[in-house]
Amino acid sequence: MNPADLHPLVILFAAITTDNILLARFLGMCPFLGVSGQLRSSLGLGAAVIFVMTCTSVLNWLVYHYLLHPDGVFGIDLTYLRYIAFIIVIAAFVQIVEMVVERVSMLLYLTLGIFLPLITVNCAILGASLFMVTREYTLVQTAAFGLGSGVGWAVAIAAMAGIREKLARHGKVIPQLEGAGIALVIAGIMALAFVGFSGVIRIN
Amino acid sequence: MSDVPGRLGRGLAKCRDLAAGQGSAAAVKAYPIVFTVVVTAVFVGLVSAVNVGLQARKARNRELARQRVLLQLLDLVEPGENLTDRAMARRYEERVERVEATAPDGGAYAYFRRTGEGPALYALPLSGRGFWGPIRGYLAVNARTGEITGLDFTRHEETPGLGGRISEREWQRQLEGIPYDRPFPDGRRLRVVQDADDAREIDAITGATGTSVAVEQILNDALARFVRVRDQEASP
Amino acid sequence: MSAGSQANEGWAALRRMLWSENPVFVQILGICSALAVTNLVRNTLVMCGGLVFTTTLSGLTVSVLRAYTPRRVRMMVQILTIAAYVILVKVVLDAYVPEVSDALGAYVGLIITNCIVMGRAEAFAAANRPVASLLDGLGAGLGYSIVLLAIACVREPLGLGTFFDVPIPALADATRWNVMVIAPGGFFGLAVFMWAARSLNDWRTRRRAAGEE
Repeated sequence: MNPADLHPLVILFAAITTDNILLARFLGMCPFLGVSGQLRSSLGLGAAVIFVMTCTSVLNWLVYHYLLHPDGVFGIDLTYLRYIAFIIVIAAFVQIVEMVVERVSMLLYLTLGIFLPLITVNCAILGASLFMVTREYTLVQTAAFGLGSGVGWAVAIAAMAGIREKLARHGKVIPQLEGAGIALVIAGIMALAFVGFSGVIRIN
Repeated sequence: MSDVPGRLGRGLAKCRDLAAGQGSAAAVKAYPIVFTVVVTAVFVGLVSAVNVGLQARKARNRELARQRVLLQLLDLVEPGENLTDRAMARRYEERVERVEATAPDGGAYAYFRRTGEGPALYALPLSGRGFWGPIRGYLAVNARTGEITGLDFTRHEETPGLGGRISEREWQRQLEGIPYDRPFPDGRRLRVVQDADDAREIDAITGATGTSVAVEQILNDALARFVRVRDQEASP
Repeated sequence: MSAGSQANEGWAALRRMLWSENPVFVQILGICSALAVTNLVRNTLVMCGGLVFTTTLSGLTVSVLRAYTPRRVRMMVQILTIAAYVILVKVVLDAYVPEVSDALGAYVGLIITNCIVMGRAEAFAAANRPVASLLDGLGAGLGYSIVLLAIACVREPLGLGTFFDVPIPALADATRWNVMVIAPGGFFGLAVFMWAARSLNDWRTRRRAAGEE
C-alpha cells in the first residue's frame, strides 16, 4: 500500500480506534495502570499526552528528514541515532513546556504540569515517532497520526478510569487484586475487545 | 602542566557548585545547557565511534546472512552441510547470478538466478511493510514447474511468537509446491487464510492477523512483479 | 563513608528490589515490555538480560554524575545515559552476534523507555552513591526478570505447547490456548501473578503475627 494514498483523516480515525496505540499496540501502559484511578486526573494526563504526542511527532519528523536522513543537511546517514535524537526532542520539549506552563499559569501547572515528567518516559510518545519513521508518513500524515494516537490513548485511559470508578462505587474487589491487579484484568478485557477491531481499517 | 590533577579537581568542584546553584547568575543559568550539550556530545560521540568502528563488520555479517539465505533457497547447500564464510562466499560467487531488469513501472528490479546444472530456480526479492516494521526476504520459485519452492525472511520486526513466526521453517514450508501462475479471479496468486483449502492457500498465524495480511500482500506483489518482467522479456 | 557500608546499603537495596519493592508487581513499572515479551521464554531471557545490563550501568553512571547534574535537566541526562547504553549494546551485538541482536532489536525501544530504568535512576541513583546505585539497579533488573520468567513459563507452554522452543511431549495433543500468546494473555498472566504474590505475602504476615503471639 502506497503510504501517500492514505488520507490524513483516515489515519486519524484509525489511530483512535482500530490501531489504538494503547489497546492495540500496548504502548504507554505504566501510567495507564498506575494513575487511572480517577476520571479527573486521567483526563488531565490524557490532554497532556495529546499535546505532547502531536507536537513531538511533527518535530521528530522534521529532525529525521532534515538532520538524520542522508538527504538532509548533513548529507550522511545518521539514522542510527534516531533513538537518541527523538528522546532528546521529547525530553527537551516536555521540559520547555513545563517551564512555560509554570510561568504562564500556576493553575494549569498544578493540574497538568505534574504529569509532564511522567510523559517523558511514556513509551507511547517515542513509539509514535518510531512508527512514523517505519511507515514513511508525510508531514501531514504524521500530524494526523500523532494527534490520533494521542486521542486514542486519552480515550483508552478515560475509559479505564471510568470503569474503575464505577467498580469502586458498586463492586467489591478481593484485597489481593485491589488496585493494579483489577486494573490489569480490566485492561486485558478491553484489549481483547480491541483485537476484534484489528484489520478493519488499514493504515500501514 | 604538572598541576593538571589539581586544576581538574578545582574545575569539577566549580561544576558541582554551579549545579547546586552557587556562582554568578549568568554562569548558573548557562550551566544546565552547557552540561547537557557536553553530555550529549560525549554519548553521541561514543555511540558513533563504536558504530563507525563496527560498521564494516556489521555490513559483512548482513551480506553473509543474505548470501546464506539465497544459497539455501536456491538449493545450493546440502542439508547438514556446514560452510565456512569463505567457502560460502565462493559458492555464492560461482553459482548465484544477479539479474537486473526494468520493472514495467520503469523502476530498477533485480532478482537472483541459480546458474550451472540443476533446476531453474529463481529467488525473488520480497519487500514491504509488516505490522510493526519493514519486511525483507526472498521467495524461491521454479520457473519450469511454475511452483514456489521456498521462502525466507532476512529482516522483519514482527512480534516474536506471533507475527514473528513467519520466520519459522514450519510455517514457511506451507509455500512449497504452490503454483504461482494460476491467479484467483481477484488477481491474487496466493492467499493467506484462516483454514487453507485450496492448493494456493496457506494458513495465517492465529493472533497475528496484521502480519498475515501484510505478508500476503508482499508475496503477491513479488510474484506479480516477477511474472510481468518474465512476460516482458519473453515477448521482445 | 567507606566502600564497605556503601556495599551494605547496596545489598539491602538489591534484596528489596527482588521482592518487597519489586518494580513490576509492587511498583507497577515496566509493564509494556512485561506484556510484549513473555509469550516466549527465549525472548524473555534476552529482554531481561538487556534490561539488567542497562539498569545496572545506568544506575552507576547517573550516580557518578549526580553532583554535576543541574536539577532541571536531570531527567534528560538520565534518559541520554540509558539510550546510549542500550544503543551501544545493540551495535556491539549487531557486529558480533547478529542472531541475538535480531532477537533484541525489537525491544531496544522498549528498554529505553522502560519505566523501571528511569524510575530507579530518578528514585535511587540520583541521590545515592555509585556502588549502592549499581546494586540497586542490578536488583531492579533481577526483580523484573523473576516476574517475567514466571509469567513466560506459564504463557509459552499453555499458548504454544513449547518451552524454550522445545515442544513439550505431555502437551502435544492439548489444544493451544491462544489467548495466552496475544497481549491480553499477558495482562491476565500478570494479574494472576500479583494475586499469587500478594496472597503469599499475606500468608507470611499472618504466620509471622501468629508466631509472635
